[in-house]
Amino acid sequence: MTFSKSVLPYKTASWLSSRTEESLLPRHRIAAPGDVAREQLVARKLGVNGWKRWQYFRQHFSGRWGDEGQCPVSPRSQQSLLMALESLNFPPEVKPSLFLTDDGHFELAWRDEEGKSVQMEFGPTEFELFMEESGIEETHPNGLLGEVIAKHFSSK
Amino acid sequence: MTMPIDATEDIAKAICSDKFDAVSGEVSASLFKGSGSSVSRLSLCPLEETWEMFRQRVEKPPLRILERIGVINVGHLVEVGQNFENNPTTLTVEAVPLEGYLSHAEIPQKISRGLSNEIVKHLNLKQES
Repeated sequence: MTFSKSVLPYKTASWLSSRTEESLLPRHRIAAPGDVAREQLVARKLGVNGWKRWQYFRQHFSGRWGDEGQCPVSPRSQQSLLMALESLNFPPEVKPSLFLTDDGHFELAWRDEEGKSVQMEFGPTEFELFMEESGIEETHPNGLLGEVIAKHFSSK
Repeated sequence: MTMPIDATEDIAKAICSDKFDAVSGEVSASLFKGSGSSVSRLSLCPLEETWEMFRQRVEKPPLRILERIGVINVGHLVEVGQNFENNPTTLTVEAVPLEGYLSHAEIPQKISRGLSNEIVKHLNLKQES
């Protein structure tokens, strides 16, 4: 018996063919290459809550949103966020909060050992750093992300 | 024509799930950052009605949930701006009534991240009972 004879003819199930095309669209976002590594990185650095918020923003804020037509999540902001997470090391008890700005930028916020606020907002070309303790409020090009993180957080 | 709101009035800011982490309780400093931040005047729309009004205008479940309402007195807001050490800022709140949203107002000045942090610290966060 040849292989081709062993294959049953394809027939669409009646319950399937009766569905509309819209209903056949995947209900969950299909993972892109590298997603598993990204998920592991986000979960490791931000914890389960941070991972959930990251997915929430990626899945629900990819188009215009909000009452004022706020900007969708910026893929370059996400890229910048992930680059920062690779370099940032938080104490085990610190799990930064993740937010989405009206410009579609990811924003990280956490507390230092003094309980003072530290924030980073990741734009498509530059990022903002705010450190309450030292009064730092700076904007840098994304190319300096690693350098700035090393300068301010290398021993943290 | 601009119409500044009296310092005795209280204003309310919607805080939705994109700006509020319900697990940590942190509010994003980007809440007030930038210029033209929208608020609502509690003298024209009491807090109980503001919940419903914000729900209709800003909430889009399950995408965006109204988590808290931040309340601050206008006079107090002005003081926070003036006392901001890094860059003392004169803040005002201007009435900008919209169709069906008479209590709408705006803070026209550009607010930095640092100043937005200070304002957020002084918000009285309300949770619906």
